[in-house]
Amino acid sequence: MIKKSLGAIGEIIIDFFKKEEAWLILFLLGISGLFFITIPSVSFWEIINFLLLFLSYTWWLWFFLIVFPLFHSMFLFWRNEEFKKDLKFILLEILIPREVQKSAQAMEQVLAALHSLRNAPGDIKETYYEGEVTVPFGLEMISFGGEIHLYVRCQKKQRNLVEAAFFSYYQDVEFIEVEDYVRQFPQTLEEVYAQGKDIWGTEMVLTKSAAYPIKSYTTFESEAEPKQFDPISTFLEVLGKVDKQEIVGIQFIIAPAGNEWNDKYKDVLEKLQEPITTEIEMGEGESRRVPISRTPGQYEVLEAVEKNLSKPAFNTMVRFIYMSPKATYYDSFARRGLVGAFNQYAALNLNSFTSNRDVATRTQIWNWPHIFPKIRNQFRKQRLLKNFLIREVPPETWMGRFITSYIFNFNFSTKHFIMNIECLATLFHLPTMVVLTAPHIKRNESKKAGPPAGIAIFGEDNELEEFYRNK
Amino acid sequence: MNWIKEIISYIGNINWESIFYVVRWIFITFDIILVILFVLVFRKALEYRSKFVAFPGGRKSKKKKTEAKKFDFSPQWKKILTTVEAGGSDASLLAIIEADKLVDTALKNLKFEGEYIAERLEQVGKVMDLKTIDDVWRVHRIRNNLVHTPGFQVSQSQVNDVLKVYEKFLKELNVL
Repeated sequence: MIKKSLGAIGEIIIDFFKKEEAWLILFLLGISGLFFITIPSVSFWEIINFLLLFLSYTWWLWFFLIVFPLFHSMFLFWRNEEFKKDLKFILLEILIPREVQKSAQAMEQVLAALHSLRNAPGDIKETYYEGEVTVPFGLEMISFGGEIHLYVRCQKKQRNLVEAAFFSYYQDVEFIEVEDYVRQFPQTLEEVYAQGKDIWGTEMVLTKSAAYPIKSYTTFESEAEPKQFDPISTFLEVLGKVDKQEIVGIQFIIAPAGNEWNDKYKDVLEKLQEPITTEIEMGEGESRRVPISRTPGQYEVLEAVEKNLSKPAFNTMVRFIYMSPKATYYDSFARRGLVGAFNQYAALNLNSFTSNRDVATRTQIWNWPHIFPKIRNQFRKQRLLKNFLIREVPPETWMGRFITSYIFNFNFSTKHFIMNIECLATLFHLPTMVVLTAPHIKRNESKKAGPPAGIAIFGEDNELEEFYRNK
Repeated sequence: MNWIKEIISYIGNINWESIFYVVRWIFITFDIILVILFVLVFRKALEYRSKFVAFPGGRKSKKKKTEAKKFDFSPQWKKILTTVEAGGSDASLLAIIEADKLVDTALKNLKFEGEYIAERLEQVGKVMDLKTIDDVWRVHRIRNNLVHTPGFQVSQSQVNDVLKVYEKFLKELNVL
């Protein structure tokens, strides 16, 4: 018993020394210890006095070194917000035909096309003066009392390109520009309460490093027709089951990431690629490490990670909100139903979704920081509602997050993750023909086709001009 | 080896103290500029801070005692709110018209003379010091457009806004 616990303590100590921080702490302790040991005649206050004297001579340097990074970060935040303010977005409702024969693979191609619309600051002027940030797209699934709508949100000037990306893979879909539905939402929590409603919401994050993919649509598909599944059906069913006055919205806010995104995850990959070895006895107390082959499971993980890192990716933010009159308000619907719907993408050896607990509008006294759970809950609800309404992507800058924080609600916990187009297409695609159970979704009943090429057009000159302009 | 000695003596001869002071002054000017810019940008950046409150539902203990109501229109008002909740754009339009009528009735009961609601509103504006009077005029115009202008559309957010103004006005008149 004692031997065991001693062994455990020994292991802890060995682990401790393996960490770099431990050595840093020891180094600092050693230096400070030197002060006391080598000059015992110097008292503690004399050291403090010496430090103060040193600071009084050099404060200007330390001041500059501390304040400048803060200023830089805040300046960027300001410019970025100014840039975002001037963007003009439109919301396009996707009307899907009765039958979509394309699988999620088509959506993957659409996303690949959308990815090419990426903008990023290229020079000093764009970074600091214009404050350019990558403009996100929004893919949204909203249920108004059980009636499901699919939306794409993009910049007004990119509408044609976004439509073209969809049309080239989904020929029968139709887009109509609609008034942003969030205008019908109560704009503040006061209004929510005034209307006798309550909200619940959260953001989803990945449980592991983004190098690991989630279960993608390829695993849901099969050559044999009876074995085909479409993961989107779970969402449609859950969204279709809400009460008449309830609203559930899921937003995927995606900003194209640079193609060098996978560099960040090289070490994860390298660790997986390391040959697996085992120790074998050579007799006479000698032993040798020899490589052995991977198990099928390990091989699968390595393959999945490599494949995941090989595709373009988006910085993804998954946020959802559930709004209901207080009489029918049942937060488990959102907490379990919707979070559960995300669970179907979980592969325990790879990656899975979990609710971001520091953002979710559920605060309890036994969760950190244990104080004022009710007030913090109100702040969280307000922040979540606000973020949902404006499709907020959390600021990249430290000062930006700091400035938007409140004492009861720091803005450091909301985070996005990077996800490649394959996984993203699994999360959001047009429901395929496998999903026949979804009568709740708004569909496009008739096919439309363009006129034959070269057909004669009649009209006055100015009318023709108008026609070509609007085309 | 002479050149090393030369370099050492050269370094030794530099007046380090004066350089220290020059550098110090350069940095102090930088610091001052930095502080000014920091304050300026901080004020700009604060505009992008969303405003949240600790008690959006209102504090329960903070209810003010008000003088006794001469009239109480809360049942009528509740009825209007239920029509809105029933849904549909027509219902909310109806609710606006009903709310306007309710305000009119309230003013009549409070003995404000006049042929139309507009005249009564003018009277109220003269007699009482009301914060919401300008808003009521605005939403009353919306209501008029709704009734008289063919094809006049209001969005759901506008409807909510209008009803809120009427509610505030009735509360200020102390009849709700």
